[in-house]
Amino acid sequence: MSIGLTGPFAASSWQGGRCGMRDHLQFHLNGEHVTVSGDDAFLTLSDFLRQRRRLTGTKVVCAEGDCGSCSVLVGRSVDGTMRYAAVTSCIALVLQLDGTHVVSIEGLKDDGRLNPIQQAMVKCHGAQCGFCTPGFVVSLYQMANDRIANTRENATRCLVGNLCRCTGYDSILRAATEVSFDSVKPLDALYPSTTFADDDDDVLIETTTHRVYKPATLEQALTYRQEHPTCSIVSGATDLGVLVNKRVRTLTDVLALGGLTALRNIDVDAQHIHIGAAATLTEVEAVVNEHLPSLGEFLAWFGSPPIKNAGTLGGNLGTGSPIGDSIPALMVMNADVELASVQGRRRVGLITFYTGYRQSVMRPDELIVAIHLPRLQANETLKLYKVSKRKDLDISSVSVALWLKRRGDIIEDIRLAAGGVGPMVMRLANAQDVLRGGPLTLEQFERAARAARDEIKPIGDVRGSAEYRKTLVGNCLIKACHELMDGESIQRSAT
Amino acid sequence: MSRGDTAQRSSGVVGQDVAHDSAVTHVSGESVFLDDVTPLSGELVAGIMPCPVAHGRLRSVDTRAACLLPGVEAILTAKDIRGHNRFGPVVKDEDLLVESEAVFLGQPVAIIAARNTETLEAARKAVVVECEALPAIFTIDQAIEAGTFLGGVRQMSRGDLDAGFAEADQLLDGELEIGGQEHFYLESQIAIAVPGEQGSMTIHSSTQHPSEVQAMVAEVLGVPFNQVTCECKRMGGGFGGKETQAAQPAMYAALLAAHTRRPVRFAYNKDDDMAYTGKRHPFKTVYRVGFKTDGRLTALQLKLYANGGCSTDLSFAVLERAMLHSDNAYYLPNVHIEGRVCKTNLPSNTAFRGFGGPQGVAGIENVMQEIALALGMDAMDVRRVNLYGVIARNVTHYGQRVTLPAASLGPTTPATVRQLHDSHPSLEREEDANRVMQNLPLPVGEDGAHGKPWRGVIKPAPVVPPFEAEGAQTHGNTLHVLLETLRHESAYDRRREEITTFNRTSKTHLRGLALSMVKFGISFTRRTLNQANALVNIYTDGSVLVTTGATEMGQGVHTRVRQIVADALGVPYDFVRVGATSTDKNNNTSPTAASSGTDLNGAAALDACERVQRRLKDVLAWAVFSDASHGVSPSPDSICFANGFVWDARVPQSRIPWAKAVAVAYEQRVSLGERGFYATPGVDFNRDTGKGTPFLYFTNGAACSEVLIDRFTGEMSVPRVDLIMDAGKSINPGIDRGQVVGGFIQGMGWVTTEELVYKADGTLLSHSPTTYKIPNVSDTPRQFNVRFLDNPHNVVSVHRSKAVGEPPLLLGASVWLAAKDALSSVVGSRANRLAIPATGERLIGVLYDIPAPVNAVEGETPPRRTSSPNSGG
Repeated sequence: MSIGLTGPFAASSWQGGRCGMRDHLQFHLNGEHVTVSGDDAFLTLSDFLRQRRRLTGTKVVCAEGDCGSCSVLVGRSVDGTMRYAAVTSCIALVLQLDGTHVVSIEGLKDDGRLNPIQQAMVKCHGAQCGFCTPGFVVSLYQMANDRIANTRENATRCLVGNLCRCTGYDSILRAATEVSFDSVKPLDALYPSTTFADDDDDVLIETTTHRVYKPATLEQALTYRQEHPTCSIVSGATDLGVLVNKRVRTLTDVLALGGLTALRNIDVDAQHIHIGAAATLTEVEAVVNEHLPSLGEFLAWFGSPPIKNAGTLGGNLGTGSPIGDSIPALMVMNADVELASVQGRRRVGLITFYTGYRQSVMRPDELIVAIHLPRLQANETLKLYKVSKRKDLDISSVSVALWLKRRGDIIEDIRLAAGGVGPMVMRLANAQDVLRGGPLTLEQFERAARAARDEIKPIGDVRGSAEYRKTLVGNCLIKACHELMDGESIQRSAT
Repeated sequence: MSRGDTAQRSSGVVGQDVAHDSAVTHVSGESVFLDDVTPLSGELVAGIMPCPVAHGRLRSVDTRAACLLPGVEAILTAKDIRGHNRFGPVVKDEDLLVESEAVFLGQPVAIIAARNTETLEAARKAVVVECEALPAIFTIDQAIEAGTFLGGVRQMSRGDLDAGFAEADQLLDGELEIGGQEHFYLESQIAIAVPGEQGSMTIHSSTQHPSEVQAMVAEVLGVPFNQVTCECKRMGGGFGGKETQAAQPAMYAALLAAHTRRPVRFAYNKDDDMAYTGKRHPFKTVYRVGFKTDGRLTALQLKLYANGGCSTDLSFAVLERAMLHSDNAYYLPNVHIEGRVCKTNLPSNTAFRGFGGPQGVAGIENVMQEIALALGMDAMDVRRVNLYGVIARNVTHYGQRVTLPAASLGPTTPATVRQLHDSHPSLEREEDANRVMQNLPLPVGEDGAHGKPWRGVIKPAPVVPPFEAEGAQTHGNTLHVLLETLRHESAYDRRREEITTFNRTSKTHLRGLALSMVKFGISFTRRTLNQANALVNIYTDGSVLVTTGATEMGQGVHTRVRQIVADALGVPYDFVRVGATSTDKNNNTSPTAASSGTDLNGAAALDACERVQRRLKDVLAWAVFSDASHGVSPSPDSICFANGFVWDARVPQSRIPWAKAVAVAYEQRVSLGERGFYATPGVDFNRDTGKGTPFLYFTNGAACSEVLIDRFTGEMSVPRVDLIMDAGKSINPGIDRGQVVGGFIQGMGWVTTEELVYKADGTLLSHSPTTYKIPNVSDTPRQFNVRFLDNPHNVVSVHRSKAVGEPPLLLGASVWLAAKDALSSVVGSRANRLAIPATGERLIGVLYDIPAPVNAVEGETPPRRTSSPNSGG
């Protein structure tokens, strides 16, 4: 059941300063109860840990969520059980943490002794200079806590968010596969006596320069949004946190949606997958893997686990970057974006959602509350490509999405979109026209590739020249053709 | 005998797979890196005011408004420096703070100390810099055109180039562009300066070279060296980037600390560190090569251009090592190498693991690949016929034998002579092998090579089960054994056939395979630096504290030194602690660089142990072991130390615990501390003639890499790597393995995804991990077979070990060579356009014949942090 997807929306008024509202955040840190008020709420979690708590095991390297050295575990109570996920604390904000349990590297020892993962890391020479090491231990602990089988393959997937410059990773993977995860205490057992009360207070913190509001209900969120149309909307903060660290943005007025569990639901029915806007990409991936594998496989290459654990699909669409990898995919699938305001709600086709560089039809009083994804029918195929300098955890040079509906050998309908080729994600209209209604042949796709190369106007930047991007867009179409003709035989496994 | 070979003592810990000295606190997060140190009372944070243009004339720096901001404690410009503003590790040719001419974007025009980072930010915004932009150059081609160089032309040559080209069946001309590389140590540059009494200063620095930081800080402050102490507990990675360039942050912090009389912390954030500090030198190699139809090289003319950046730093030494490694594992009979360092408006490029070696090796390995392409041969066969010989063709172009000095050869038996002869194609006569084994001098030709023309026949590869020909290794040239073993173990020939078929049939992918070698010279090419001292202090409870000049950056030098000392004193490993590196304990230290940390400092520590042990033996012999109950006369030579006990070999039941022995010595007023010293014997190199014996020995290895390339997207993966290293007799196999794997992956990153991208004005765009891509865990080879050659014969180094820090990085080149191999199967000779790194964009560019993009971009500049420290406020 997705809250906010069905039924009439009842607006209520947000009342600043009403009683029942807290003026501070409360959460747990390594089992200890912590309250934060004032300017500290606007710190990054890593600064809070290192400077305010002198928990210096958490290291900051890049301050943009790309190296994992600052990884910590953040637990949230979901239906009474704590669910922990590793996140990069350098781009997480303290104001997102209300009601959570944060476990840093200092909180992962078992009775004052090294836990089995740490012991394995010592034995296998998993640490050289030691700077990245706490982050790796945290990521592996999440894997153990989730009781994911510790194969080399799984460990590799789990660690793509952690960079190491010394070891070449081999010794870390050996440690990951040698340790028995059964011997690793689940976090619930590591913190047996800490009680995490579900609380549904809303929180307002105002300082001379900053204000943050954490609503407890969607109604409160929408009211705040209407009264503060210029506020920054923070969900996972995976984009905003970077911009804050790099001094591109300052947080003066923040609406923090992370605690709105109502917006995290994901529903599947016969025709659609309904995804709450604040569902994390990890949660989306789990559902999509089952019901839309071709998108799931793509999401696997989308970002690192800590980023996906924090980032949301709603945030990805709301940011509206032309290199946001989900957008071309959702566009060709004809996804709808559901927007809500105190006036009510509306659904907008993603195809018409964007109007320019990071511009959309969303009004300043609206929030994205859900994304509705049509499921693939039997004769429909979705193919997604993301080309980047490095396979994992890299921003695309180009991404190409292709949806098609076949009748025999004829392409009855087709939708194409590409990212990284202009100020916003682009439909490849001319290429579509070439292919629509025609046979699935290499000649047709080569024609379409030429059309696609002609209709896009990419720029050259740090991720590739314009000519390279044009070549890639055309090539992805031809590659798709080969894969379609070979009955999908050439899969990612070949690479 | 190798140092450390003495038989009587052993705690058995040398050669053991001991965990890293700091492993326990690394995994628990308790290891203290500099920025983890709790700020001292009154401590300030510091940052630079970067120059906004890459080349310009500084008109004015107006700090008045900034100085008035509350919390801004000091802003210093060049005129505030009382000591030397001009600095440099070799040539003093860079302004620490710009005086009149700014030479790279981000060069500091002022340094600022403030109470916290926010104030620092505000101060930076309030400083007004007026700078008139001048034309700037960034690339090697621009520098060549403009004629801007650092220093003169360096040359090395041998033989007769013209005769060599005349002898050739075929000639090839070409050039190779080699990109730079960002160190990407995870801990960015940082220093904390704490002012003391009477002008003294203590510097805590993340540095590979504490003595140089000490000296540079003293010079910039204008005080004697003995007033400055530099300490380094550990680094969060160095890779050469903290060899000379840790000095600037230390100098900034020291200047501000001296001025404010308060502790000052200077820490770069990752973006600024990447943008403002030097990197691996980009190179351009221009070559003409002559060769016979069997692939044998007859002549090679090379021009190497290194992009040195704005000042000398270590560029001459980097260029020199590139020239010294332009042979790699191959005999160059007639060769002329010319090298120049280009002066450009980039931060001064600096040491980076391999230190020019990788660029030199990439050049010659590329030539091998080109020869193979031209002849339609397999590149591995071209490498085989050119490999250094044992008897003949065994002297480098600079005149050093690739074999060990004759005196160090192992036992000779008819069987080992025959094995040596049989297993080495270049040994044409059994009597030559015999001479080698018997330590007899070989006939020497006019240039130091074997006198007569080489008549060797390349035999078909003997499929020798690896290393059974044990005698064959004793001469030190392990290259043939490595190549043949790897060829066998990697199933090279079978896979080559498979790949040829695959590339003919696959519509979507290409595979490539390459086997490359490394022969890396061990020693600083600057002779002076090949020295080390160590301090061993034994306390009255028997515990031992060792300090050396070696700095710990993750490579495990402290662990190895600890093993060596425990072994030498015959005490359990736990009795020994290695302290932080500090210039007040070990003076005039060499940088921890050139892979030499353990070789030099381990040997010095061993020397100290031997000296103190000699005194212990003397005193114990008469004070303990010669009393009436034992019935023996004092005999120091009979005293044994092992496993925490001391005894007289003649009366084994007499043994006493180590701590007791130490207490006796103290009681008898015997000094329980010692300073050891080591200077590498026999190394010498004449820079003017380009001849000499710069290296003590060579660390050799080979790697065979396979790549898979998507024909449409250019995405490349590495399904399999086989690697074999001759790392001598390992002091710590686990740590050595970590060096080999980590080094290889770092080298692979250099040649694949790590690309430095600049805007036209010199702004680095790839200044963070979002845009600069070091290898990720999923980029590592799916199948990665790493093994070591069992070579216990390297008698010239401590415990017969071999330095292993840098050499494996050079094997990363095999991934690039494999990519080139894959491309050439489709586009033939156009593959010679492939540059380093082989990014997806470059692969697509060669496959689809797209002109190389100019390295100037439009569009969105990635957001960058311009603030300074991460914490400490």
